[in-house]
Amino acid sequence: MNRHLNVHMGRSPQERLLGIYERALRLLPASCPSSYRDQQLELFRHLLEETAGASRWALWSILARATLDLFWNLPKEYRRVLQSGTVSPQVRGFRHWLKENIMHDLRSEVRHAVRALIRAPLFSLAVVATFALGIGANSAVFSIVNGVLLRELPYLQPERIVRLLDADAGSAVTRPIPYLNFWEWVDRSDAFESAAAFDEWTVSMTGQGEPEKLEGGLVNAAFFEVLGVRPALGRLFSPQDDTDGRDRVVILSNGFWRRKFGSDESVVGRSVNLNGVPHEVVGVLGTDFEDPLLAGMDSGTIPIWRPLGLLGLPAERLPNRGSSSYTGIARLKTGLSLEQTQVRLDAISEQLRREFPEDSPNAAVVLTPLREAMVGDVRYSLGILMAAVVLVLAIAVVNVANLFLTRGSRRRFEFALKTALGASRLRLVRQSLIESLLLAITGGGVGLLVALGAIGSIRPAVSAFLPRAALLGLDWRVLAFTAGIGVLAGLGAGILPALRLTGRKAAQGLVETSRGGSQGKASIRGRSALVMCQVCCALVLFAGAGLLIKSLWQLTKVETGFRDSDGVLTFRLALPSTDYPEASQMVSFYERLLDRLEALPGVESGAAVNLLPLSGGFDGNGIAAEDLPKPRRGQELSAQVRSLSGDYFRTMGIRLVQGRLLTDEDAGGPAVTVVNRALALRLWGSEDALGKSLTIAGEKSCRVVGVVDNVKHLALDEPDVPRVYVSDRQNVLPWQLRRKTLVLRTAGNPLSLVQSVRTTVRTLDSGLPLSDVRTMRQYVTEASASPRFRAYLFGAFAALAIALTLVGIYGVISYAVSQGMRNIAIRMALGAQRRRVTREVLSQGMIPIGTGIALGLLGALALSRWISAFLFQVEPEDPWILAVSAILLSVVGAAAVYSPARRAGRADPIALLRSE
Amino acid sequence: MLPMKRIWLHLLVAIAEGNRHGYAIRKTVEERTDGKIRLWPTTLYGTLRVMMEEGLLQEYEEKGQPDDHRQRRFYRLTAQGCRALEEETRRLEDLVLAARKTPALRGSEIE
Repeated sequence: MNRHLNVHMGRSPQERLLGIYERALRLLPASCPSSYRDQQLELFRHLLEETAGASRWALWSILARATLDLFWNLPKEYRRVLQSGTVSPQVRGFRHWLKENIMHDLRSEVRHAVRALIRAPLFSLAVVATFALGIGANSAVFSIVNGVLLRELPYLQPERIVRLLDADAGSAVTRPIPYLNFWEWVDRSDAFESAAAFDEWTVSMTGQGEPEKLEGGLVNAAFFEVLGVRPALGRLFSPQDDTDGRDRVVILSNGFWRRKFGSDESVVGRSVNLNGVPHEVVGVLGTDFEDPLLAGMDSGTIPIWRPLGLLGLPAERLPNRGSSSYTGIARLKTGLSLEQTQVRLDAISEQLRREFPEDSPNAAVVLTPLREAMVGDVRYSLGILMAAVVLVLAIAVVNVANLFLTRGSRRRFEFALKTALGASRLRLVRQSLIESLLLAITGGGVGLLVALGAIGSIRPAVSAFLPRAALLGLDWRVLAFTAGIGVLAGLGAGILPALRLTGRKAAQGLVETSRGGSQGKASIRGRSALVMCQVCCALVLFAGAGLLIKSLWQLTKVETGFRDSDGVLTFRLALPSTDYPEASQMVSFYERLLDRLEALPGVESGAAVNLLPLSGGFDGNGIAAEDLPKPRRGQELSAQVRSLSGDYFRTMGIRLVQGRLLTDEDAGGPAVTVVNRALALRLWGSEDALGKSLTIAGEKSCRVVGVVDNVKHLALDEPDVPRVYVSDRQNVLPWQLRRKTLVLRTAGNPLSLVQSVRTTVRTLDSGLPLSDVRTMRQYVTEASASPRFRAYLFGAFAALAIALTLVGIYGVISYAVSQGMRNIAIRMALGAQRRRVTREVLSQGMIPIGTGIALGLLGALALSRWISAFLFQVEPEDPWILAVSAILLSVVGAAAVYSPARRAGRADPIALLRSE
Repeated sequence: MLPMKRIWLHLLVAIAEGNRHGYAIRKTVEERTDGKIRLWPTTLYGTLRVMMEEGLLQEYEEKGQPDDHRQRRFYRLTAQGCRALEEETRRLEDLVLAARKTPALRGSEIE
């Protein structure tokens, strides 16, 4: 049966239960005839049919009891298979071998191991703690990978859902598409079962508690059908809802319904006021509905959905082909591959370019699988984190192996005796492995708790920039992964010591130990090799962390173009068209509001702007210099346009480079504009921009009166983008007036003003919601949240790795010194100088560390290019960082070696020799 | 083989009555015991299989309803099964008779 049919949410509960029971029946021994299983399934189906119509609970209880019955009988079933003669001789032989060698005495050996570990509590604690850190870090990172990348999208056959956007060939930058073209692609290609366009929808909700501004979604009626989801309450959109005039209906997200309506089920059918217009709530989505993130990560989950209401409108009333603001999603027809469909769409784009050369000269569309669209950007980043945390685990495992070797050499006598008494090597290896596995499993259990804590603290931090992060947590995959790496770590840490201790020479242990002789050099050499590996891994991690931290540092030093963002308070407003139909009303509202706000104590100046830097919004308008030859259509310079009220430049602290700023006196005069340096440079190069004229969006002509500094807008690491500033009063861009962000330069803590600002807005318009009340600093911090997260995690891993390495080196050298004490004592008795002994131990200890550092440097050079995509103004081969890493690890190594070396130098030869 | 497990007896009786299909067997047993014995799939078919291995039952296939093309499996008693049922019934009858003759029960009858 198709796997996806099983999880398909649209199936009847009976079918789902049957699917579950069928899977449970697979637990029966494979040798059972298939009819045996079929009969049981058939009976189960009868039982369900008998109960049809009863509550869902009754159906589930039948499943529960049937499954319980199955489990109850499973031991019997397997015993039958074992007893029956249908087993091949090989299997029987293997089973015999298993019984004789593995299962035999297993229980008593586990008990024996537990007792041995309890007798060495410090050792056990150290191992469990090391495992817990290593495994816990892995589980935590894996739970992110799992939640974001592996967890299936909760849609019907999610692999068939695609996103349609415009993009240049071979470029990763995608752009919205025009509504009309979207449907041309869908209709002409005949490649989709269903399709829907999506647009963002900013709306204020009033009359339901505090007025609130919402970032909703406008969609075609088929939107939820494309995803294949069902509502928790009420219904989804019907095609009738999607027609002009009947589109005053909304669907609420489950979270918004709980928050705003207190989970009131009677909300369906009720009317809510949106932008002053009543809308009927027709449905509420389920808790398992996941926002497909078509509006991007910045606006968060969409709380409210409305139909676009464009179906059946004549073409001239639809948004024209030139205006692109839509994202398409569609469900591919079965049997069509992504590539085939893309070829079809490309052919249609070609047609569109020919048919509409004026409006769609660059028509293009790119299909992206929805999963890719949602999480494709973070896959690489998470992969790197996973690799880093596996390195940490490797270091932890090596540490434990070292601890086992050290402890094992104290137990050489025990093992030698057992060998002499005839215990097979397999038995001895097994006993060692049981101990390491027990510790690894305990460590894994504790690690899971560590992971749980880590996820709890990571989740709020990452949900701003990591898609699907709100649902991070433990599930069976994380548990299975933890169990898997726990067993691997236990085996990995135990196998080397086990083999070493039980090797051919094990019997010699009897002789050596009884003679109190010096311990085999081979063992110390083996351990030095382990130290070398640790140092190598730690250095790679540390260098990686260093690169990321340095690049974060560079990022925070970037000139944003505005100054002192701590003192700037910002909030958003959207004026509803019902109350403010005219541009002049909006302009005068902002002026009155700014006057009052500036009068508040603590406010130095204020302004309103259509898009705030680093707040996630993006726009582009064609700009042409009037004194230059007109560029061809589609090749104009695209610049961002900022429409301002109030003293924006002073409030934000943007520096004037040349000329003057916009003033109130410009209001009645000819249109003027201030441009940024990037625009002046792009259009006029070294020529003076002042006094030149430019055309905005093909119609408005403005004279340049000033040039200001560049400001980072989308990201801190973006190149400087051309931008023009115009005054709201000159009404250059009336469509930029409705939604504004207000900025206030304050003295003191800006957040202390929030209440008085709210009151001030309310005195002017009581139904106007404020949203996104934040300081400018918060936007700046958020702009580097993702690199900061990476740098912090890497830094934490590196710190952990170095701490573990320090402990590992210390353990090995201490051990080597204690084993070599007899030799040292003899040499000192013969006149060797203490200082020389110390120096010798030091230099011997530093050899594996030095080798490890050298290998680690090579490793770091080889691997650092994997993170070059995350580096900003830092070369992956940054010599300083490599040097610092090498020096730090040398210092750590020397510190770890020093104390045992000193102990060697201070040894009292007479006492030592006498004690033997 | 005697005394027989309670479920075995119930199954033999149900099948001897002519209920040959798994679901019907289950229903008969459930009704007869007032819902006290409900045979869930694995127990039912596991027991049927053991009883077949003991030679008490036989399984055979037959086309179901005309519109149903699946091969359905039915059960019937073997000669040995009939004998076992008879012996167990006789054993129980003896036991019941013996019980009736005890003073305790005779007393209760008089009352």
